Amino acid sequence: MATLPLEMTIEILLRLSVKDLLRFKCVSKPWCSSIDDPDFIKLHLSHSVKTNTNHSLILRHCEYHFFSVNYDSLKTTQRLNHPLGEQKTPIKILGTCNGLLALIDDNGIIFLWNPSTRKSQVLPSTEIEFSSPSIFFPRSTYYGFGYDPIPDDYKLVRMVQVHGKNNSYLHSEAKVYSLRSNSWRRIKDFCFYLSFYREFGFLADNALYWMVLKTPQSGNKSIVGFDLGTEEFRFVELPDSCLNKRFCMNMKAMGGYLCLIATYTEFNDDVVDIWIMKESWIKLISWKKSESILGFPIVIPLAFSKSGDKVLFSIALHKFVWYDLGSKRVENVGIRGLPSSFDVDLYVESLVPLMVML
Amino acid sequence: MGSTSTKIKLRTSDQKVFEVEKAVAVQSQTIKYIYENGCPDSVIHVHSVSGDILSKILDYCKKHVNSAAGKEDISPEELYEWDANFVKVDQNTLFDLILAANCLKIESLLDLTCQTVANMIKGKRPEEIRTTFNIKNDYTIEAEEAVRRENKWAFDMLGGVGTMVIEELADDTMSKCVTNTKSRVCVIAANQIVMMRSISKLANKKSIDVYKQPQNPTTPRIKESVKQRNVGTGFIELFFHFKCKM
Repeated sequence: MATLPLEMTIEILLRLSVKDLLRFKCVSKPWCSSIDDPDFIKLHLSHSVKTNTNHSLILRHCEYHFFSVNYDSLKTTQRLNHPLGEQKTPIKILGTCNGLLALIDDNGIIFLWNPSTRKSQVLPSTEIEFSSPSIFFPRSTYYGFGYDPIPDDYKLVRMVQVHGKNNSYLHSEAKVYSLRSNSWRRIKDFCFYLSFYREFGFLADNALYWMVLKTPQSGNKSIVGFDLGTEEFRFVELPDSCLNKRFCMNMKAMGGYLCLIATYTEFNDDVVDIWIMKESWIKLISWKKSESILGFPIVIPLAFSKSGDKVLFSIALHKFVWYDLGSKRVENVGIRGLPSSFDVDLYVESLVPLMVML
Repeated sequence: MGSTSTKIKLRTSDQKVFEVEKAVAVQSQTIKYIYENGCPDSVIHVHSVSGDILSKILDYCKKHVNSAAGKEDISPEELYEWDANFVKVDQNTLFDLILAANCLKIESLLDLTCQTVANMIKGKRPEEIRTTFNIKNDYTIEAEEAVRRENKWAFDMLGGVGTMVIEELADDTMSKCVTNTKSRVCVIAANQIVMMRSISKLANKKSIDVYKQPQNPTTPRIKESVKQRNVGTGFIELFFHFKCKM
């Protein structure tokens, strides 16, 4: 019987699912070390990303029920048990990166969770460094979760802004959590205005993005990006045609790119434009209500198909469709066991471990 | 284009000599490098590849070069099917092809052969993997049990004889599995076993739609519906839909 040297076996293991790999740790000790090896884990992850395999949709239904749908087949749902287990507290997905999900509950307690390996970790809490009793003032807290390749570290960003009277702000602080050191540290204060109570950032291209206001008076939204490597903020200009105040704008990350969803009315017709940021803003799709068979509910772009010619959309928080970029046709996706309403994110199944300490 | 009719000579480990067109041979990055950096007229030795294997590999390279150059009228779907047939070989040959594709640095062939083996071993149990790859189990019983326990959920619902456990039943659960008719299925909800049934009994029914009466008032009641279909050679695919009342 033929045998393969271990490095060839690795080429084969790269192509397997996380569930198969976790089971194959039992095959032999060398196989177990190979599968646990951080370099293999990175290789496996980058192979999944490159070939657009091992991806899943994660659906959040009624506050704390989670389901996953395999993105390769898009046929059935599977229930997931999240780390808080029996506790029925509302949880939201703060961000996803490389197979790790950051979850946050109503009290601001944050968990990191890898649904593929079923491991989780609670983050230590950190205070807001503001001397006056800030409970009397309204505040905004924005979060983001991402990865910094140079130190091979996962980072969580929290920005807090305490608002005073008359559109002023009393205090702004930004802190970064590092998974490697399992601790928070404060970074340079930011100088823009957070308008909502709580927002989660979108990860694209090693940076996190939020919609903010440059000044409270301006009323015009701006996109700010946080570079996970340099830990600096910079503004990203919106596409020229979106500078009109009549536009209702939403941001997403799709296929690794920053994505803008602009809804507006033109010549008595409702339009949705989807832009993505490559070197510059490119309008990917323009959808007119009059031409659309869907009516005009909330459309959220999620991901490109494997061949890159279609985009998966979540429609009105209760179903999925494929939009063909070439023919501009829409095709329903039938998934068994879909909950009646849900928030959805895309994640890649990976072996990325938690509890990594220096 | 005179260069495309240049021939390259290759000598294998068992002293067989092949003469091939340059465009075909340089699909191998290794051969390409040796050719471009050595003496173009001499024979290139491919020490680690036997004649039989090299012959197959050259068939592959020729097919792909011809299809890319448009010399052969073959659609991407037909090429894909040709590739699928190409790897329908015995395991020893497949492993030899992997080793040769790696040594000759033919990326698409390495991808094809490794993916083929990956597809073969998906969903298998560790014992089957050891047989396929001729690997000795160097774990002690306790050590293996510890690793197995750490990820025991990954062992659920595999093809094979034994008891298949469906756990973590909450109000609405769908699950699918492939198993053989000798297995049993055991459904656990709220830490209690609510159903234990042999697959053969389930397999004979088209669908079951019944609320089980609990023996004990604290036992959750479940309504189950099961659909099954034959997937060949004694295995069936079961699709379960459970509704659980606590």
